[in-house]
Parts: sequence; C-alpha cells; structure tokens
Amino acid sequence: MRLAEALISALLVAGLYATMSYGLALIYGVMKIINLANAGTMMLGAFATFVLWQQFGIDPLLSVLIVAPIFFALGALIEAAFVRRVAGSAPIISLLLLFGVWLVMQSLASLVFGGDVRAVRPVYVQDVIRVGDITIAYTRLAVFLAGAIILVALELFLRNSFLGRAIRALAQDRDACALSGIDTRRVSMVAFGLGTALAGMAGSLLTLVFPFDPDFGRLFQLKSFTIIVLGGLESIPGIAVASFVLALAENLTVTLSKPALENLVSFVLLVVVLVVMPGGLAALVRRRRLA
Amino acid sequence: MTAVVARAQRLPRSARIWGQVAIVLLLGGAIALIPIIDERSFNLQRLTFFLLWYATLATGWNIIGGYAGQISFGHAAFLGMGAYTTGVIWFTTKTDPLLTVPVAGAAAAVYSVLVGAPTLRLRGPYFAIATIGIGEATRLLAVNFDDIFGVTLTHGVTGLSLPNYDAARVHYGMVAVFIVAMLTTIWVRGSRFGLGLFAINMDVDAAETVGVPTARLQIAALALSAFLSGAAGALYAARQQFLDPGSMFGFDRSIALVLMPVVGGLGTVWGPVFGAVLYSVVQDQIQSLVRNPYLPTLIYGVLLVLIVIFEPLGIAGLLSRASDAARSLVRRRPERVR
Repeated sequence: MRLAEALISALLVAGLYATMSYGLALIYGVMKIINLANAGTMMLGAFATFVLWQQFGIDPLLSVLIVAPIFFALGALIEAAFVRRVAGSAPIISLLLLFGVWLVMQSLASLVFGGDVRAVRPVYVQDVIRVGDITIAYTRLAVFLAGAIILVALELFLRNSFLGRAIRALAQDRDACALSGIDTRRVSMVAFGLGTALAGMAGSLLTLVFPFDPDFGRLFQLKSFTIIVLGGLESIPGIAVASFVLALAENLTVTLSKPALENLVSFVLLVVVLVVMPGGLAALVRRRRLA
Repeated sequence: MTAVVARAQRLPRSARIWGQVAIVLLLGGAIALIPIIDERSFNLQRLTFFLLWYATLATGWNIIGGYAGQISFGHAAFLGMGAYTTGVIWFTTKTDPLLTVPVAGAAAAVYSVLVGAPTLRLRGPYFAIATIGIGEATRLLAVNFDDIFGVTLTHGVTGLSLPNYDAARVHYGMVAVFIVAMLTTIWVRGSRFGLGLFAINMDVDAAETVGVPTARLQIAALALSAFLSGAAGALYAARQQFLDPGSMFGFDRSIALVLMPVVGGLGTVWGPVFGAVLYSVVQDQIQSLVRNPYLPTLIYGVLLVLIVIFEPLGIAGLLSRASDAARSLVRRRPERVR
C-alpha cells in the first residue's frame, strides 16, 4: 500500500514538475539557451498567486489564468530587452545574463516580501480523496490535472497553429526557417514568452503543494534541468516520464532514508544520467529499437 | 597601476609576462609588509587579507569560467572543501594549518575532478547547471557527514570551532597563496594550455578538429581552479578559526565568485583582481551604508546584466577603452585598423 501511495504521490507531483520543465525545454529548443531565470520566474509566479489570494481571495487554480498572460508579456519583454542583444554571442554570455536577471528577480522579491517562507492555504487544503486504503490529497490531484490540461493545450497549440509549427520548426533549423520567410525574431519572442508563462503557471500551482520563499529557485532550477536532460530536450512524453522518475526517486528517498537527502536526489540523478546515458531516456529507447 | 598594465600590453610577450610578474611581486610584497610596519593595524590587515582572499578566489574561478568559458555556479563547494580539509586536519591532529594549505588545495582539486569529469565531457551548459547541484550537494554533505558516516568530523550545522592562530602568519600565508594564484593565471594565459582553453571557449568543435584534447584540458583547468579555491579556503579556516556549512557552502559565496571575475573582466589576468577590489571594498562598507540585506544582491544583478550587454570585458574592458581613448587624444594618431 505504501508503494502504491508513493507511486500516486509521485505521479501527482510529476504534473507540476513537467509544467515547469517544459518552459525550460521550449526555450532551449528554440533559442539554444538555458533560461537560468526559469526558477526565478516560477518564484515570481508563486508570489503573484500569493498576492492575488491574499488581497483578492482568488483561488490559486484560478489565478493560473491571470498569471499566464502577465508572465507571457514579462517573458516577451525580457527577450526583447535583454536576451535578443546577446543572441549569437558565446553561450556563457546568455547564461550570465539570465543569471543576472534571476538575481534581480530574487532580490526584488526579497525586498518586497521579505525572506519568510510563505504558503497559500485555501479551505480545501486539508481535504483528501479516499480510494480504498489509499488517500490522495485534493490539492495534489488538482495541481496534477491543471498541469496536464496546460501541457495538452500547449501540445495542441504547437501541433496545429501556424505559430506553434513555426516554433517547432525553429527548434529544428533556424536558418531554414529564416529562408522560408518565418519571422525568427518574433517567433523567438513568443517562445520565450510561452516558456516564461509556463514557469509562472507552474509557480501558481506550486503554491498549493509546497511552501515557498524568494530563495527556493535554485533547487527547482536543478530539478527542471535534470528532467529535461533525462527526458530528452524537446519531447513532451519524455519530459512527462522524466518528471515522474524524479518525483518517484525523491519520494522513495524521503520514505526510505533521511528527508534531508531529498535535495540530493536531483543532482545524483543528473550525474548518473550524464555518465550512463548522456542522451537521456529518448536515446535509450532509440538504441533499444535499433538493436 | 592600470596605466602600467595598459602599457605592458603593447610590449613583446616575454617582457609583458615579466612585467606582470613584477607587479604581482611588488603588490604582494607591499601587502606583506603591513603587519611588520604596524603590528596593530588590525583593520588594514583584515581589509587586505580579504582583498587578497577574494582576488585569489576570483582568479581561480576565472581559469575555468573565464579562460575555458565553463561557468561554475558552485565554486563555494571547492572553497569549502579546502576550508574543511584544513579545519578537520587541524582540529584532529593539531597540524599547523599553514602546512596543510597544499593538502586542502589538492583535496578540492580531486573533488572537482570527481564531479567535473562526467559533466565537462558534454557540450553546452551541462556543467554550469550541474555546478548548482555540486554546491547544494556539498553543503548537504557537510551538514550530514557526521550523521551518515557515524563519525565526528564536520560537526554539522553547529560548526567547527578551531584553536587560535597567529594572525600575522595567516597574513603572510595569504600573500604567498595570492602570488601563487597570480603566477598561475599569468602562466596559463601565455601557455599552450591556456591557448587550448581559449580555443575551447570560442568553438569546441573547431578546437577538437585541430587536435585540442578538449575534455582533458577543461578538467585540468577545473582542477587548477579548484586547487586555488581550496587553498584560499584553508587560509579562511586559519584566519576565522570557525567553519560552518552555511557560510562556507552558501550560495551567496558562489554568487560572489561569479560576480567578481565577470564584473572585473572575464578571461583577463587583472580583471578578477579589479572585481575583487571592488567587491571587498563594497562588502566592507555595505553594512554601515545600507541596512537592507537584499539591496546589494539587486545591485549586483543589475550590474551583471549591464556588463554582459554593454561591456563583456568588465572593468578591464572599460579601462583599456579609456586608455585607448586617452592615447588617441594625446597623440592624435589616426585610429588603428583592428
């Protein structure tokens, strides 16, 4: 029973992990830069949700809809004002730039909200759903469903709209896109906006499950990076599976050994993946198919 | 000093290198004289110790981050590894901490190879992100080490209290380590090894094609960088006589180690020193000037963004621009074609 509970709990957290990681993967796919400000964006999303809940009593699940467009605009603005200027220079330049953006986000949040750990606790926060012997926290289920809806909507957008296809095309071959008349700058801006919006929404959802402070980003940055390395950089199924693997590994670590070591899991997993299967799960599957 | 540096850049290579070595020795010698001239100049000793300490750390970081272009967001791990190596040896065997400085550096270097080998073999930003994990994992290790292995070595979050030690000797030790760090960075910059690192920084594929052993050189650069950080950590242990995981492995430390070389001038010999001077003076003054602990981070973040966009070579870049401008004003020479 404990194993079943661990599996379900991991699956539910994986929805949140996948949402935050996909933002990172989308931006990496299109622009080939790692958005180090991703976790900072998530943190801002969490605080925006906190403010909406405290000031106006808006439920975190609803505020996802408010956060998304605001963060899309924020991302587009960051791309147009900063990231675009360093396009084409060495990768470390964009890494340092976004590190700076992250520091600014983190210290601004600390200035405004202080360093305290916050939590959003709506009335249903203690509610559970019982299926036989297994109890499932209502909030986790809601967060999982919201994450799943967001990712399915995104996948539909990327597959069916012109802009979505342009984003996928850009991830494959930027030069070919420019040659066939796609406005690569505009599409990059949209992709960065979408990635930022995903991180913001993940931040909103996170408030229901985890307590947070302005400094929590580092760990989630590492987690989402581990997930996209494990899951292959541009596939939603890969990222979903990788999110589940990470969530399960963390869950088992907490259950079987010390809770303090939970934060080590993502790093150990990252190193193991890099050593054993540098191409991630996707490459592993491909190799099996070939053999 | 900057005028000297700027002029030195136009001399032939060997003369330039010897000029830089002379500046390092003069600077180190002058700072080494401080406790001899005035034994009671504690404030100045503290300020110059931390100036050299930050300069050593920034210089060490610059070898992997600036020369090879592999950014580390977890260098506090190597600093802390060195500090704890010296701390633990000193605490348990009563060995003179200054004697353990090379051991501390070596421990940090070995540790860096262990964590760097899997992450540096790959292209792209894997190393940079993994270093965030390295920093966090090492901090957790230091906190939980005694629990996990059932021994008493790091004393976990309570911290490791060390015996007293002669402040003047630590001061001389710091000067020596600073000189070693500067000679190392000057040597690397002029060497075949350094050229290989610059090639990797510009284009890994091209470097690989012309026969640069990219993975090996990057790991060597990381080990060298970690060695200097670890040695600096050892001196921190000898000076502060107290170590705790929060202050040694804190992410703030890693941020500082990124900031100084980037603000000073990425991949230059003197940039990290400029950055360290700025940072240590600002840190020294900041407590009395601003009450808010978050404001400095905000300023550093904004500074980082501005520097990356407008002057990727930092203070060193600004200075060389200024000296170029001054020279063309004075001599009225036509602008050189670059």
